[in-house]
Amino acid sequence: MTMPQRDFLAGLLLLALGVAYGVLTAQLPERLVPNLPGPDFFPWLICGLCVLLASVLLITSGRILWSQGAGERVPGFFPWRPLTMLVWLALFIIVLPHAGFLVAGIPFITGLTVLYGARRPLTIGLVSVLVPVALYYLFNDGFQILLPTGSWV
Amino acid sequence: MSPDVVLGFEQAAGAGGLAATAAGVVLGLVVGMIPGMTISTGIIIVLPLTFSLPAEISIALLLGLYVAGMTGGSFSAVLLNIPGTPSASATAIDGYPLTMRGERGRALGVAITASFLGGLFSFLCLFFIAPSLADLALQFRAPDLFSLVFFGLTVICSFAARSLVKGLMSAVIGLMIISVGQDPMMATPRFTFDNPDLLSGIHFLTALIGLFAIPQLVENLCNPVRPSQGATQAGFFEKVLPRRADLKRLLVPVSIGGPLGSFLGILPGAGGPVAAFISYDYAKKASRRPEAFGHGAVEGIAAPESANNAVAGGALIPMMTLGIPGDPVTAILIGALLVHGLVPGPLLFLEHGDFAYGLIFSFFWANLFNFLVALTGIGLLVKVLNTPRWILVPTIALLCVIGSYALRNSFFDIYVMFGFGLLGLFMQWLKMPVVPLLLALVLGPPLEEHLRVALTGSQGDVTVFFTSPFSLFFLGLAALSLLWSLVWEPRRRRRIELRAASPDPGKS
Repeated sequence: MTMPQRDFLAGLLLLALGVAYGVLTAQLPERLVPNLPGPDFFPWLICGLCVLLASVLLITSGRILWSQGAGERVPGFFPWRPLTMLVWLALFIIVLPHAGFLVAGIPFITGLTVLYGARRPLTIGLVSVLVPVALYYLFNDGFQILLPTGSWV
Repeated sequence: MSPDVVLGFEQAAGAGGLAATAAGVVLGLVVGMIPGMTISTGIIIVLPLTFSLPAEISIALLLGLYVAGMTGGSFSAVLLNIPGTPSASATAIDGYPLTMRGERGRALGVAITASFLGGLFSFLCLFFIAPSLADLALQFRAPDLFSLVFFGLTVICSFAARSLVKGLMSAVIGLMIISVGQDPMMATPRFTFDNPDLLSGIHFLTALIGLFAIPQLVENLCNPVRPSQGATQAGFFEKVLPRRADLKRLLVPVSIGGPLGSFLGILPGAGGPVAAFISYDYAKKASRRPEAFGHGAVEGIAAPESANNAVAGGALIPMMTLGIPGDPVTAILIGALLVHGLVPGPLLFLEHGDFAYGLIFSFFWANLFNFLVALTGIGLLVKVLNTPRWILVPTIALLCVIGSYALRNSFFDIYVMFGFGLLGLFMQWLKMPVVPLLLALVLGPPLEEHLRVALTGSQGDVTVFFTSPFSLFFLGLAALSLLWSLVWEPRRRRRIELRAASPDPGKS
């Protein structure tokens, strides 16, 4: 996707966000005392700004697309490795409350260590166990910050 | 002498404070010298460790990291020609040619000494200016405070020089985020969708961890910075302590860099890189041998290094006295103070005077330790450049999750952190700056509160912002700041970069 195309898409999304925010703002309680700002005062300002800026982004990128065409493609940054990392992180976050920090953390670190280029199985194994265990005891015993133990364990 | 000064000194000079400062300095040097790791990310990683520590120890640790991160950035700039932090970019111009001539110890010695002298100058500014400014700020009323915060928000423009619309849009997204939760005056729930987790709003630090750390993890996968041979050989250093002749040469550039950096640090948005390049330019103009600049002149290292370390002290002045962050790092420091129930602003000196002075003295110790640790441990520290990414990055990922969870022992905060990570990636995809969003998260709540209090007090009359002299002064400053950021600054920056680049800098 080219930069003007991205800007145009972003303009559309942000405009939709601004409108949705406006709809939600309209449901807030209005000012309680006449002439004084209520809880919806500041959100209305933000909503106006959002719609205005999104429209400017939409119009400027639209004009570029109309007059100069799509332009050069900008290299994306979503090859498979970052995407895998994000999915792995999401899985870790989902499993964490149930499995606890240690049980979920070890496979999480194993995956990331491989993803970031480690190749020796022994090193991967050592890092995968030592890092979560060290952090668990550092926070639990050293800083008295209790990390989740999980509902399965 | 005020008893707060004595108490503050005792706090900062206590065993815990000194140990925390020293630990922060070591971490800061390490974080700063790793290319691709910013000081902000370093502070975010360390934040969860500070939650259970007393406030004065936490801030000592974070200040050590902040100060040393600036110096650490110059290590990789000098050794690898890759600035560890943006502020060290100007240092590479003369630092790397010295390394190529086999004088890397000398180059680093000059950089460390200049950083210390710049930091020392900004400590004096912080010590003498901050309390007086806080006293003055106590007289501000709601309209003045609104205008002041509005002036702080104009910083956004300096981070949005490439696309003003995108910079402002980023700030608007930040303002939308702060409007979630109970409203500041009537505690009416807003945009909570009956979710009790959203009632207290989205925690600033959770958002910050996601916005900064997750894009960094992705960046490390896409564009891993590999240390060159120069770094792997950087185990032995000799003659790190500057010679007498070099010390004499430091005098002029440090006299330029220290005051300039402190002044630009006070101005929101100017930041380390700008101070470093301006200082480099002025030092070159003041030098008797400007032709040596770009070919390994020690003055060319000293000027930017003293300036970027002086920026740290300068940026702490508006942060402590007015609650206005001068750069992303001070914005994060505000968040760290809030976690401990301390609100930066004029009342900090009044209600927690000992803590405020403790912070100032911790800044002094951070500079001193930075000087000593960097000079004595340089050989050991640069070995960190060889730490494998596959140990470093997964550990950071885990620390981000711990940091989000530990704030309120809530899994919800981890999901929010992940959501903000995706938002950060989306913004990166759009080339939308993240810093305006960060500033809006810090300045949004006081902006709304002071605006509503001022309008309530004046029965909805907006002229109240133009009748108060303080308010008028800040609105004038805001107008100047806008002009500076949008018109003068881009022109001047282009001129300086062209001049700095002209003598074939840092041949690599």
